[in-house]
Amino acid sequence: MGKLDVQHLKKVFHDNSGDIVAVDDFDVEIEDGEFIVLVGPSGCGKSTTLRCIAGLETPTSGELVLDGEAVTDNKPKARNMAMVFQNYALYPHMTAEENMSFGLKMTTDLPKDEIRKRVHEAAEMMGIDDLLGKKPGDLSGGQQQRVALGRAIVREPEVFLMDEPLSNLDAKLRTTMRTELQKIQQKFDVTTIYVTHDQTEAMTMSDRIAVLNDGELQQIGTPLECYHQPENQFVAGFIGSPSMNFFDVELDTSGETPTLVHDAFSYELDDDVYADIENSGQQFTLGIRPEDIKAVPAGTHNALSPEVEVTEPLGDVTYVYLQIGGKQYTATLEGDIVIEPGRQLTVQFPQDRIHLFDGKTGETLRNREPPESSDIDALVGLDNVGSVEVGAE
Amino acid sequence: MATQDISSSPLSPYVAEFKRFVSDTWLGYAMVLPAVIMLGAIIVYPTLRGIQLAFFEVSLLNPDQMTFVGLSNFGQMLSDATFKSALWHTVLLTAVAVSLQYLLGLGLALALKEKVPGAGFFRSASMITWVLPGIVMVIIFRFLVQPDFGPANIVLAKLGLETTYWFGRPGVAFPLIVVMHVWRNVPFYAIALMAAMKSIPETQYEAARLDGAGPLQAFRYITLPQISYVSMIMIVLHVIFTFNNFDIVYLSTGGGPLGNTEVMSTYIYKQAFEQYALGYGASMALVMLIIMMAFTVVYVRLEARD
Repeated sequence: MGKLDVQHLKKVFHDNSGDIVAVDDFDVEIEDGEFIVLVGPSGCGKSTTLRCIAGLETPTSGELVLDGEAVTDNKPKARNMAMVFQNYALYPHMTAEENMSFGLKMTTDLPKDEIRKRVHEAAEMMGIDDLLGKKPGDLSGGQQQRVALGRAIVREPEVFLMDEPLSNLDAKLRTTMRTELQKIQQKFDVTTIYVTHDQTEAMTMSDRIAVLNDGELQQIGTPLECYHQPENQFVAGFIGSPSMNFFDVELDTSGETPTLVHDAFSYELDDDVYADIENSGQQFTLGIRPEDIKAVPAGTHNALSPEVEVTEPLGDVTYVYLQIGGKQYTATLEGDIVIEPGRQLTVQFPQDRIHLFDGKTGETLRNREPPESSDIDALVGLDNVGSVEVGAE
Repeated sequence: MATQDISSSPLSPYVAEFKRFVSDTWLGYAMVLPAVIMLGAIIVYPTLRGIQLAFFEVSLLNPDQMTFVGLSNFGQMLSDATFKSALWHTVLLTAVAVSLQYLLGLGLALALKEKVPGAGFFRSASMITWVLPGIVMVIIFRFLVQPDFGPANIVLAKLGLETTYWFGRPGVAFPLIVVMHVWRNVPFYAIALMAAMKSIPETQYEAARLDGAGPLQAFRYITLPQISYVSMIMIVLHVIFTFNNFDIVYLSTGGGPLGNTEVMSTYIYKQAFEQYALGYGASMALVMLIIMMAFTVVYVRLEARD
């Protein structure tokens, strides 16, 4: 079992310049066997959270409960957790086998033969049995990564902790290891907490994503929940690549229809959209994902005609960078649409696809309509790996 | 490497090689030549001359008159009790001083590595003993153990204990020599070992903590193996330094009292320049050279391993 309950975790670092709150009231229940990804920009507190869970940092306040037992004050070794570090932290003077057996040697009374057997079993599973005699210096990055994973697996922990384990690998290997990690996690069915700043890893690997910013948990939910139903503007902007476009707009109710006014365009609202923001002041942020922007014939209702700055054809889709009100915005169009820079493109933000956020707090006031299956297919496009058939509109 | 090209003139590869050598490398050799001559004059010649003298009977008062005596200088050593005790003192001093230096240096390194307030100051301050000129250090120690006004004796007198000039007391003089060697070199060990320790990434210790290793086990399995290379280099270097050391012993006790602190270097000096037995001194120096060469081989091997 590996049900981990993190209760109101808080970590404050004391510095000459004052107190720095690295993690503030982090509260989450992680089910046994769940793969949870902590994601956020640099310095958001995700690594600190993981280190508090591992016992490498002492939380300022809060509790950690593993399978009903409080482990907050336990030493790292008494928590039954194994961690994979960003730089692998293999012991350079030991062979791969010695690296993998070190934990068993330290924590158990197992006879040497038994340790050896377990290490060889784990190594076989990881496909590194032929590397056991080598030292880390003689291994490639990917091989070191496997040894580090093997070292974690061999101890049969309740919880795997992974701190950006793929960020030192090249792009191709990272994709391979990503799927491999998922396979391993499914095979062992071990609760896994995975820290990354890469939202693609977060989206593709996790059962649930926890998005952090400035030490605070912004949202926790399945990848698609975070993508389609962000709880605030930060999550909306962080999840998704290319990221959501945001426009600062002001509500104008003086005319016949309520209208959102931006420096470069105005956008008339339907009644049901207006109902969601009616009582929330005048300042809003309108958000729309690049793939939700539609190219339409000139003169269409609620359309605007910005200038195209750059196009990036990727084959399956084309990113079109548009100049709107002095800022650059991105639209993802079909792959065979090629537009010369400098021309005007008429685009529209479909009303059922827009998000609206409070202009001051960033809280979500309205999210896009829940996606249909065709939208979920389109989502995979954010992985940039191509080979996805986009549902024809 | 030159293999002959039989199809053309048998000498042509050599001619080509020679021409290339002359045209490409003569300038390089010309640049190096002054340094080679200098080294030859100040290292190779005295060494060879010393080795030659070891087989002659020659007096410093009349160095031109040399009598070849074969191995009789070496035979004389075997029956020379002072030589034997000097050799023993040298070995003992080296073994004790280097062991203590290493252990204390390791402890100091562990202490200086910690992020405690003032560690930076202590790191710099601890180097003072190492940069202090040897004569200054010896004068400080001699002052410390002066009979009447030396601080050590003042304290001892206050405690009602015996006071004396401790460098003149058999049984105390030798330990004092050891103390001076240790006092002088511990910081150097500490700085070198600390640098080696600091190059071990912190995450390895964190991984070890998760692997269940306590502080002692982390030291034993993570730190020690990774500072072993620097440790070996430091130990071998200081074995050579201590074995060769002349100034500390000569300036503090001059080998006394009653030969209690006589080491090889002081005894050789005395034989050659006080007894004028240049040949005998040279033969003992040759013995010392051979012992030192053995350590040098170890050092070079270690260096090459990297």
